[in-house]
Amino acid sequence: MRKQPSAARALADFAAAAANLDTVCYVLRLYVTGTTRNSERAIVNIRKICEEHLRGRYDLAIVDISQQPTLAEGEQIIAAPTLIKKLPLPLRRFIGDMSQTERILLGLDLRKATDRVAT
Amino acid sequence: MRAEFPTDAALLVQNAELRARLAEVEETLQAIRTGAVDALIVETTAGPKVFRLEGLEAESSQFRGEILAQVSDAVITVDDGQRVTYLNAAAERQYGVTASDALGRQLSEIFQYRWLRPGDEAAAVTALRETGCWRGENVHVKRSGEVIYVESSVSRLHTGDSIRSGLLAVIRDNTERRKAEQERALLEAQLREAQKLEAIGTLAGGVAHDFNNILGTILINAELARQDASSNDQALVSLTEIEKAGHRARDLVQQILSFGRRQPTSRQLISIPSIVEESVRLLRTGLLGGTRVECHCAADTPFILGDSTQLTQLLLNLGANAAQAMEGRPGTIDIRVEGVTSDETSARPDLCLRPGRYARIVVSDTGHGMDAATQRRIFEPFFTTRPPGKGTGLGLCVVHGIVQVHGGAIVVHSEPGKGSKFEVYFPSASDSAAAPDAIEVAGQAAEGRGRHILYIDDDQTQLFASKRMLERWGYRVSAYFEQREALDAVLSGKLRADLLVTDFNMPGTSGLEIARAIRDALPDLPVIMVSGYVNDELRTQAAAAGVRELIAKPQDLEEFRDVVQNIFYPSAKTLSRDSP
Repeated sequence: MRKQPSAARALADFAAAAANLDTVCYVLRLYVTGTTRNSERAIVNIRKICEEHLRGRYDLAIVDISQQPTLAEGEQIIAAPTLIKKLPLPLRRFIGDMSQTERILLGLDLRKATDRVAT
Repeated sequence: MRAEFPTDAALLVQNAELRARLAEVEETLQAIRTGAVDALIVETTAGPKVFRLEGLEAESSQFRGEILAQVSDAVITVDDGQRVTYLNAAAERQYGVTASDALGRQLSEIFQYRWLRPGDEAAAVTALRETGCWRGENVHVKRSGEVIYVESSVSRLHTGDSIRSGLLAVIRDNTERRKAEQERALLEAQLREAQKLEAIGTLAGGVAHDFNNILGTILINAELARQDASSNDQALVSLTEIEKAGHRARDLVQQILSFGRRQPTSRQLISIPSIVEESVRLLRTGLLGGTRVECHCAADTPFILGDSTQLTQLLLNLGANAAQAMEGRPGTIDIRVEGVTSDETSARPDLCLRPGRYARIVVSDTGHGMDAATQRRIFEPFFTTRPPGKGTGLGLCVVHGIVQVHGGAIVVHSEPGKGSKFEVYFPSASDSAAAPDAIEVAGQAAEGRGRHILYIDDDQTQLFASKRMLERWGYRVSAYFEQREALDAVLSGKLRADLLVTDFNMPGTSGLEIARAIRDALPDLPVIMVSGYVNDELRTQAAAAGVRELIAKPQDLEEFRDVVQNIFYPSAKTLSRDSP
């Protein structure tokens, strides 16, 4: 049997991985500081994004570090609100009130750059 | 030794990582500049520390936020997609959620709402569209399934911020207030119902009183005629039938009176299970083939103070009612007796029940059941769902009267097609008031021997019949239907009587007033009073007025004869009752 060229193999792997994106489960952590303005907005916005684009295949945990800052240890959190996409890899971080939906969708690999709506 | 240099590939990777870190830092700085960051987390030797990035505006906003947070009503905002964008502490408490759990979720995930009336939803939508606000009541069902009644004030939010636009709702939990209102309304309804039954009872009692007098006359005359017609067999048969019918009518009148007047004739310490067993035995004998009776009596059933005859009547009536509901179809009448405790905290089956220990009788059937309209009327006298001639409509009304007399309560549960359940509660003997003594009616007799009786009754036919009867027993009778005339005669000494018999209920001077006048002027003249309905109150009053004996009307002739004889010969044995 003839061996498949490496470039073709990589392309096939990528296609398979892309197909899996529709079923893969997302593990997300949103670090907030109590019920401050941006933290509240970040919770509302990320939950809306998850429900619209990841319904049934996400695990979103809201972590309030205002009472226990040690909860941020080990995650290299430098600002709040911060969203961390722990899975699927690669790990990604988003800072702010999560109102930039397009940028977050792109960062979560839920939208290709070419899908952007021209404005 | 030759130094190790990174390969081109490794350098490219390091470069990419550094660029990514730089981009991240730039992104963070940009977020801080634009105000999208609330706090910075800085690693210190003591661990991470949070520094809030809040200025004067934030402080002012925080102050306003605190005010809103401390409002005792729930405050919730939702965006145009019905997602929760804000909720205060009262809302967290009211719906059992935390802000971090609720924010961003659909409102329907926090609670479901139901409208109280058809058309409310359309009215709310119209009001919000036209005026931007709506105020009204509806029902919220929490995640836990708990239902609360709320008053909501909903208005449109105009903040120029996509997240903050939508609706603002201030929601007040009215469940407790509503519960109190419902309880009050229920009590008022029960009071109205009790007043209605009281009024019907009074009316029925009044009719029964007049009817009683007529019956008394019929029975006495039938008895007299029977004695006179001793040689005429045909007439005797007819007269016996008249007497039988008269007695049936008298029983019916007693039932109406027992509903209307609501006083027990006697009260004794009673074990309900023993009465139930006797009643079930009687009930079984009258049942059609397919119907079974099951009886369960708990050992902890408390004793009650009551009238055993009335309680037997109650059980038979409830049993007969259940049997009628089965219409001869196969099924079961279940009778349960047990002790229950009603306290302030537990849900009371009937709001009139005071806290305490009760004996509960539950009679349930698998019959056709009743709709709500029928249930509202079942205790009314003469109300029946049975065809004409098949039921008197007095069975359950008598049950109601008996329950009232015993200071108990009756609760009905029924649905069409699902059978009926009657729960009767009687206060335990330890919780009941001290029982008044029953009248002891002695039966010592003597013949008249010409003794003189003054008889007063405003009903002339009754008076005439009684006079004839007493004369037949050997007494001399002066009959008066005018009370004043009779009193004048006896008090002035024109008439010397050995006994005075008076009716109780007469227009003008009552039997009690006559008795008092006799007690004061002629204390040695014994008085017998006759009344259509003898109750404890009348007994007490009669005793105080010096009445020696109180007799229920229409008089049982033998009883009346014994009582009269006993006045003259208190310790004598019955003398030749059967002799002429």
